[in-house]
Amino acid sequence: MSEQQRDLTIEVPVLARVEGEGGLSLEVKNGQITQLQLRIFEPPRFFEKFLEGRSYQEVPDIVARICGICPVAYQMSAVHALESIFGVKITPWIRAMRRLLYCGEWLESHNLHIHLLAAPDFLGYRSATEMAAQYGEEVKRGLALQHIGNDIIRMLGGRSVHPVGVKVGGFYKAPSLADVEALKQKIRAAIPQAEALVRWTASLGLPDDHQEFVCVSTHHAQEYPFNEGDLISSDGLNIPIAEYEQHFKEFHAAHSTALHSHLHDKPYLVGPLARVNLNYAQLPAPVRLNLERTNVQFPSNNMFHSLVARAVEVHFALLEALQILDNYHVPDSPYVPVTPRAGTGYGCTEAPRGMLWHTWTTNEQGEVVSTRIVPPTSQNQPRIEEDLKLSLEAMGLDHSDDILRLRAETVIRNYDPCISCATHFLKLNVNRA
Amino acid sequence: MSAPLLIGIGSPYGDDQVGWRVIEAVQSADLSLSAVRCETPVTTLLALLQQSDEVILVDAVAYEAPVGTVLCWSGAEVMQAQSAVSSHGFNLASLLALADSLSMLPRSLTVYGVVIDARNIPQVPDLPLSEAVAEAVEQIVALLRE
Repeated sequence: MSEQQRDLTIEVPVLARVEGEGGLSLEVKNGQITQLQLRIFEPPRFFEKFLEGRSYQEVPDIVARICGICPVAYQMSAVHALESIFGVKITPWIRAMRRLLYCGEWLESHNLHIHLLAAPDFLGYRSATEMAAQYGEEVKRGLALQHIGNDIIRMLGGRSVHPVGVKVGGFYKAPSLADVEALKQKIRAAIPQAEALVRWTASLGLPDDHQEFVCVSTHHAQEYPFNEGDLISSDGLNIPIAEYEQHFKEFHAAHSTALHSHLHDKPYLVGPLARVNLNYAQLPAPVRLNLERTNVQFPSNNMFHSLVARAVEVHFALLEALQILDNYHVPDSPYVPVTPRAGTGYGCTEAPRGMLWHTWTTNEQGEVVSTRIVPPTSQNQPRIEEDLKLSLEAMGLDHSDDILRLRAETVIRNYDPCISCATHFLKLNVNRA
Repeated sequence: MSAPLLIGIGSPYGDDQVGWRVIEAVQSADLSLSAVRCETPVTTLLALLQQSDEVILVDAVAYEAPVGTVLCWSGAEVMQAQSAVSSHGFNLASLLALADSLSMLPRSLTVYGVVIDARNIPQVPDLPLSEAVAEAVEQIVALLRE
């Protein structure tokens, strides 16, 4: 057997620098990948079952507990779905504050991923701590941008982790003008840092690995998507979110406690790269102009450009937050009244890692009868496995096990998988005699 | 000079709440400390470390010692504190090492660790602490009072 056709088995028992517990199994025989499994073995968390019977008023605080990094996304998809059932019409102020809250979450999550999780892979370090010795200013810049995200979430949510300020119908409290003014000053000062971040990520010499894949995100004609829009794909899908189940199918794979998901029987991508690819025209002109000073262009079919897409969204989120805060006023009420009723509704918003789809059914009292939550990491799981196969084969399977393992981990981390989010549900069948 | 800051790291789950329970006990004990809860330290701890020249951290740790044992590190030894829970691959030791790399450690840092059974942290929030860990909370408050 030649060196190029050796058989090998690579096990990554526990993935580092991702949230949650997962691993990777890879088998190569006769120069071909015969088995490749992104194994997710974090115990299922049964959030959907916990929520049954709960009042709609409890939902935002409970779903915020699904994830410490993207609680806002879970709150937003849930409140939109519940408000659609109850016929709630929110005010422009509430709508704007929800976009602002989402800006905070993207700033927090994206900067964590870029600086502490992904960048070490592309700069040849084993950890952010090692990288910080050489790239201290870049890491500090990233942490400062991340902390602005924390500040935004704390201002609207009462605290930066698992915020509690959101309710069905709006917010419990409106920020003061003094808090808003202080935040605006921080954001204004940070915008040049975000511009520099975009240029820095584009200059990192990311691997040149082009692949064919389908992108999916929400899309709004007038704005970059957070809370509203139809579902579109790069191969022509354009549907209201209520029609999600007619096109997307979840299924169970034996090696994962997270459900996998297909669009028309094929893997697809959600997340920053999919969003930028599908919504480039909705980005503000300063964001596009700054990006156009680099050698990275969107739409891109290089998955590693996800890192640049995250940085682009950091720049966007700062500008969006500043625009919202420049028009801020203290409202008469930070929420609108809600009268519960029975029904089924849908919510679909853009979590940092991608589209997060919910459906909720309530009874007349507004208690949860059932819910289904489809998080982005479980949607991306088949795409990650497809990407791993293509990336490793493109790089060449004749490399050492260590090099193959590192590339595989880099590919996985590039998606910023949140395994804890992905495993909040496992279909449970109980047969009783 | 800023007042000493006590940071209690924790989550709502089982004995991993211990850092938060210490904060609550200190807040009701009238000690001359600023006290703040920290959750998901990978996103928040480094900013908190900047808020005082003198910081005391409390966290649940995983060690081969009886549950409820109180350990203490200071100086360069703080990097040895192995927290019971990590996020995104960052435990307390690696976050402190990152802060050190970035020259973001406070002038004085003391870490109190309470040994918990990290393999059996319940998924249900807000359950009472185990007896030994509850006693450790009292022990740390007494140490802080001294």
